[in-house]
Amino acid sequence: MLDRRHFLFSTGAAGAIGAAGVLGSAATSAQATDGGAAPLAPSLRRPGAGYVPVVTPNGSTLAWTLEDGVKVFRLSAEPVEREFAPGMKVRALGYNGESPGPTIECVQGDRVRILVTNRLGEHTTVHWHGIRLPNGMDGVGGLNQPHIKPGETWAYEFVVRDAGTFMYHPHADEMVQMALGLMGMFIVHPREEDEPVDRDFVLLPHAWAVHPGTYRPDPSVMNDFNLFTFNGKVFPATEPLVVRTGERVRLRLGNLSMDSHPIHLHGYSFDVTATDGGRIAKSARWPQTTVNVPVGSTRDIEWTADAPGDWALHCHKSHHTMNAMGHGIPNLMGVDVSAQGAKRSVEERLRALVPGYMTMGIEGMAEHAVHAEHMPGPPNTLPMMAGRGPFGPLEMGGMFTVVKVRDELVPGVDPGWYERPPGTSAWRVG
Amino acid sequence: MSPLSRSTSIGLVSALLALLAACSAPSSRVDREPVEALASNALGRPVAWPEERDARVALERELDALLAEPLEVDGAVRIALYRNESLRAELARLGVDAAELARSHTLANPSLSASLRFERGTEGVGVPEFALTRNLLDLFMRPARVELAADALTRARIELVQTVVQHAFAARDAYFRARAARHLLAVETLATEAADVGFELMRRLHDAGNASERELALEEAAAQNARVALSQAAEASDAAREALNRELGLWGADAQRWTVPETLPSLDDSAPPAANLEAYALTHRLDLRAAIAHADGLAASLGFERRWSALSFLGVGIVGERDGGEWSFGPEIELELPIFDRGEARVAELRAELEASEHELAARAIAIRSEVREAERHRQHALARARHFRERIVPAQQRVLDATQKEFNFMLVGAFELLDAKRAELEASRGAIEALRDAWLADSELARVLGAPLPGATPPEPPATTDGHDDAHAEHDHGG
Ligand SMILES: [Cu+2]
Repeated sequence: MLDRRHFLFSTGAAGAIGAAGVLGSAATSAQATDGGAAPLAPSLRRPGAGYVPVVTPNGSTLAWTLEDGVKVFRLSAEPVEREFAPGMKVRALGYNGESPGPTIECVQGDRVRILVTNRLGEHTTVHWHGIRLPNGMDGVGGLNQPHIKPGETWAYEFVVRDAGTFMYHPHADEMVQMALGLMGMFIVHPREEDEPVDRDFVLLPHAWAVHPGTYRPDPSVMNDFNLFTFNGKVFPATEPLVVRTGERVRLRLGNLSMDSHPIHLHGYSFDVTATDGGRIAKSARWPQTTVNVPVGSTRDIEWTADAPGDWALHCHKSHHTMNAMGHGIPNLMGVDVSAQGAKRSVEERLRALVPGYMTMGIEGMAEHAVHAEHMPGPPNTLPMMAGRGPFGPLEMGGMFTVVKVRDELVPGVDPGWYERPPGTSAWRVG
Repeated sequence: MSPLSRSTSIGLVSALLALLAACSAPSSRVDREPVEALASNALGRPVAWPEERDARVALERELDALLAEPLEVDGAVRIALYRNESLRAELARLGVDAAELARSHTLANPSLSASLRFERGTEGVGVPEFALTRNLLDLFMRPARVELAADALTRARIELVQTVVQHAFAARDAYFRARAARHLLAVETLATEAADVGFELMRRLHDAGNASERELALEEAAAQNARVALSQAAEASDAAREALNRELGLWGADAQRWTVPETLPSLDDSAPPAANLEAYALTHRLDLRAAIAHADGLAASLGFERRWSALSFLGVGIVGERDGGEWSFGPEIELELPIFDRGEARVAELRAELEASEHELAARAIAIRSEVREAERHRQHALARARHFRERIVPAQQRVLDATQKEFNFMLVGAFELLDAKRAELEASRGAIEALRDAWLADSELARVLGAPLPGATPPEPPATTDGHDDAHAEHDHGG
């Protein structure tokens, strides 16, 4: 049932496998390839090839070995350093060197064994979120099993009964371990795909509290999260989702943060085709442009990418598409800081005391994106908005990425910014 | 009646007259050089009070020039030495003691007794007779008396120099206080401006509809409070200025026109603590030298009294008598008989006084040693605090301000936090200024306790306390 091609795709792009499949867990993470399948490759759908492997932008797919008909995966819970974007590295927790951990991918009916090694300073477990399995495999520390102590390796083994989009995360000191980034996606392909797709993307949004000037997420924060990632990256470090015009695209979204994320796709209408409870009957779907991904849930959306262009894909909570910002700063909108007849303006008086002072936010905060490019910020801190497009600053951050739909794709080559045909762009009339 | 022949008598009379006149009285002019030498040593800088008109005019011109420029500490001390009238009064009083010394060099005047002796059967014409007598004891006593008077003068000079030094140190301290007060006023002015501009910014926010009455009132309260602190700093600065005016003896336009630089000078604290400061103080402290002079004077008196205690009057002189138109002269000796008062009481009294003075001397030396240790520790602590402010607290607050600025740049904090950080930095500067001022005062205090500037920079010679007989005293190491 598992043909050679299936095996190849499951471990990553062609050429990247070698002996990876039979190496131990230490080598596993190194062999996991970026993004699973090469993101810029032409359509991965092949008739009779089994499933189309998922692409995890800025992430990877976990390699496995086949032992007596069991797919064996190896996860190591450990401290990791995650670069959210150039200029900011976060001392997080993750699996196999990554946060989120590598995407586990298998096929409905597979018997999987997941060997979990605890390289943390405290105990942990792994819960397989949404997957129906024997109670003793559910991973709630203290309820279903003893905790996995530091240095121990435990095995979870079960037959995956349902296809779908699932997640994995600790169920031990959850608040801390998830706040610091221990989580990943668990994708189960159906034996037979009823609604095959050409591209299958995985995005796991997460909310973090990394105080400006610090490096480590603060697990005591429950509400005031200040950084919002797709697969552990903030815009502009988020990889685009590259698609050929006309392809059928699936985007699988999870959420293990403490807030819901209404993910909005520009340029298309899509269907929500599945939750972590399973596929939604076609008759029950309704077209949408924004899918709210609730806390502790997954959503699959699918659409046909028939409109070429650079289409924004982002959380629609505007503070989730920006990086850290002070919430107690004075509101300068519409404030007059001129001299008002005095010798010096308020601005001049402030500058005399603090030479670096600069009034910002009187007309809005868009100017900030430009200011931030030449004014130093705290160490390891990203400006609250960043990124440049073909027309200037994008003034975005956090949960923002671009779906790039092109008629032609050259494997391994970034398609760049979309060139709009003449007469199809907005124009200035005044 | 004298048995001597006339010619021999005349020769003897000449010798006796010479003896009677034997007093080489010194010049009575006030000799300031020793005082100037002592003061120069104690202050570690040349000190002279010129008397000649030209030199005084030149000096006045120089002091005027000092007042025209921002005043440095040496200039302030210099002005105090010449313009402080209390100091000049003390200096003038030295003349009184110098006159005392002049008297001690003079022997008691001889006494002349004259009489007319009427003898029966001499036709009513009296026989004139006289005696010129000089207390010879006074002559024998002379070296001791000179010694005593010299010691008294030494003490007077030392006391004067102590007063001069006190004035100089008072001027120095007042100078640093005035300079620190000016610097503190500048810092307080900035802090007030920070509070003020915060209030103004909040007023603008309020005008725009972006800030509440409460927020506005909070900023106003802070700004108005800052003004009180500013008023206090201004008053302190005024008072410090006036205190320095008093020490410098300035009034009128002079009192108004001088300035001090805006900031306190830094104090070199790189030198390790000097060794043997206690011994150094014992060789330089003027009060100790005065005590030594006192003990030495008593010892001299005691030595004299021991030798001459039995005698209180030993007179020699000449007597003359005219006998029938012929004067005849002859020597005379007069002696007080030590029958009732043999002088033991005076010797015992002096001995007790000497013993007491030796103990007082030891007590003084022991106290000086303790004072030196205390002042030295005080100086070290004050320097350490000043350094701590300079190297730790102020840089830390500057880093707070820098970091706040960076957070401000990224819109993580607002202008009010930036102003708060600025105010905290100013608060650290205020502490640093006060600590540096206290370090300068502690530095002065140690020099004052040592009796001379700290060894190291310009090591002064141990002072000569009197003209001529230079210190055997310095080798005494009393106490400890
Ligand atoms: Cu969101």
